Amino acid sequence: MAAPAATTDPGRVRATQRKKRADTRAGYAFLSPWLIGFVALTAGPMIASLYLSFTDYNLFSDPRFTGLENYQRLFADPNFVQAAKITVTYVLLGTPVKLIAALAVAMLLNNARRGQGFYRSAFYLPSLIGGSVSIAIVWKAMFIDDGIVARVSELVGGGPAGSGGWVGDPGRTMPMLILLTVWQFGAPMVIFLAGLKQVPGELYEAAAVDGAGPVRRFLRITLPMLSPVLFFNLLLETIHAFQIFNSAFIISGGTGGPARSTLFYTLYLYFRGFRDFQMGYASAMAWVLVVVVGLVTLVLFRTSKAWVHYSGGNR
Amino acid sequence: MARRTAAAVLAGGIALALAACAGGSGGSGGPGSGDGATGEITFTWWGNEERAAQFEQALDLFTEEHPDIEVLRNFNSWADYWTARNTEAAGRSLPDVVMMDVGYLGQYAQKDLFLDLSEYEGDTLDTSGFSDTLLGSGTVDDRLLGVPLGSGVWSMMYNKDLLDGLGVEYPTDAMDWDDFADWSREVNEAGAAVSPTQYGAEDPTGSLPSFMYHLMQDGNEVFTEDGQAAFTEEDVVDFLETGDEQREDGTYFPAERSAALTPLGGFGAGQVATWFNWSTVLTQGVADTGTENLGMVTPPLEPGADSHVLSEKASMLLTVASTTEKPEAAVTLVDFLANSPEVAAIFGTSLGTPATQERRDAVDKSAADVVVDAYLADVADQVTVSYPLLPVGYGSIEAKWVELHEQIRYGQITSEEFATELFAEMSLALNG
Repeated sequence: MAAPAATTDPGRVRATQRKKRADTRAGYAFLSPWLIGFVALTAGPMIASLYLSFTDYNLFSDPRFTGLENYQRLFADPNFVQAAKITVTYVLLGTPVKLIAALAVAMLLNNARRGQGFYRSAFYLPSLIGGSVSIAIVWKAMFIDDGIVARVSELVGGGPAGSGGWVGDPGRTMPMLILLTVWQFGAPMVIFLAGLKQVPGELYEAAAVDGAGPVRRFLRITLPMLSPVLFFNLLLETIHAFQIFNSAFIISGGTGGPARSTLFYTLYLYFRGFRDFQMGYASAMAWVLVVVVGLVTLVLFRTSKAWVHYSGGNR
Repeated sequence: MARRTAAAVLAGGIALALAACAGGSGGSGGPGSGDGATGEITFTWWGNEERAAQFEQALDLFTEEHPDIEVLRNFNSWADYWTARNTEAAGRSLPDVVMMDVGYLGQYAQKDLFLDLSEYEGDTLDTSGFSDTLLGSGTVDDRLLGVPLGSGVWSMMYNKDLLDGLGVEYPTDAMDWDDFADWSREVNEAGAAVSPTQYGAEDPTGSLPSFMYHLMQDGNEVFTEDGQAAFTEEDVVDFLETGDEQREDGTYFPAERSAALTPLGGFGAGQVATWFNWSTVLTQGVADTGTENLGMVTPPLEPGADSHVLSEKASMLLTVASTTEKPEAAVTLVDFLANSPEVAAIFGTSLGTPATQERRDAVDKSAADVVVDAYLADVADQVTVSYPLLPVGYGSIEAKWVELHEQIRYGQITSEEFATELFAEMSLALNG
């Protein structure tokens, strides 16, 4: 719409505004399928669940308004405390380890080498298969009583293979699930790889000329240049980790066991909603999760100003 | 509110459609009018594809006998079934004929969602082949709401192959809990040499039905009529403590291995000799263990007792929605599905042991069915009470019991903490 010096002509201004309005309308028209979907399938149910979180509702009788009772119950509920505790542990441990693994593999795959395409696909595969359901089944088979992990550990002097495996030990289900999420590093890896491709080779060459070793080059060039990508991955993986459900559900056989050690937040929410039909309570849990994830995201954004560098701009 | 409105509109639509279908046939007749058994009715059940195919066959037979009644069918998996039915119940738009579980019957009865079938007894509905105690489990406030398709009795199953292999004698119905603990230790001793090691028993206090069985032995009520617990925290603690010694000295199958074997369990995996469960699940036991060589006796006796107090639990109940436009046709379908020997032959024992003798005779018996039949005949004179009417929210209490019990087995909580948490959950779940 470059129309220099035309602003003095009121007729042309009106025409421009009319065209703008038409553009806006067309824009909304094209957006409408998404907007309708968003309002009907996301925003509407969210508002309904916000209302339900203040009620006692079992699908069966009409919702009965109970004020803040559900929220008060949450903090007195030992299972809620347990679910929150292990979910936070999982997020704090699993996310960094997964990102480190993804970055490490991405750097290995960044070097030009024969069969690079094959390796990239191969490493991406685990995150592609069946939205983690099939991998969770494989994981369970590996770590179960008398499974491959138990047998190998018996060979190298661990306990007898037939004593429950990692799946049966409440102390080892968390490491097992963290290993599982780390194994699915494909998605952040691909994003890291794309980020690494953007780092200009001259920087490394110049640094090498100045005598910087590989560690220094990584810390002074790779990390700062990659920080926007790192931030993106961190944000996404953190939010993702809060929502762990599939692997815990499958590995515990839909129980959250052994001894509540895999009773993650969303799993407990699901039990409350669809096993116990305490929809009000489940809605309250969902909203607490939304608020917590929102706060964590906010904090990450705040801290990002200190460590994320956007090249080519002065943000 | 939107949901209610939508459901109401939908219900209205269905009602209109049904009314239109009825056009000219004289509408729905009241009880006993006989000629009202025409029109279109809806029927829904839970289960898998295999069961659906069986119902297709059964309903084909029904259509042959009653060409004037058309049955529209629908089924869901167990979990989806209750989400869907609960929503329909809220909108009072249940299908005409609904398969019910005893765990939900009380809740639905409270809202007056079902027709009293006793008005049709002896006329459209024949219940002469059913035992009184079994019909009792479909009865709420003297109103017969559900007719059971099958039934089961609490039992102790044992793996004969495993015990033969170890050279240990089979358990008997004359054992009390102390005898049983000794017997378990004997199995463990012999089983220690096998890899993976074999055990006599998985902790038998691990399910709410086992606790209910324990309460019933002393003639105690389990739930009150208004849907509250009729037992105390002390009762729960006392019951759990019957296993304290065995848990401490490692007599029971290790919790770690149970967890690793979920959902199979020690018995299903062929590593534990006994299994406490409903007699109806023996077929599943055969499938899981891979041997037909299973036995079944009554669970051990309470200290000092010389006989058991058993009850038949209805495994599937057919109910008719109180909102039905075609009660006569709906009851005709219930009568057919509950009484026809041909229908029993189609399902075998997959819906539980058929509830009437005529139907039991019609079934082509597998090895497992023979064992169950022998057990039921054996305990018939000890089946003296109806299964308790389960309160609203029973399902979440049962799940809570399992969850807490696992923590006991891992030594994370005491029996007292178990009881406190169970009662906290009950005060929330059992408020109706």
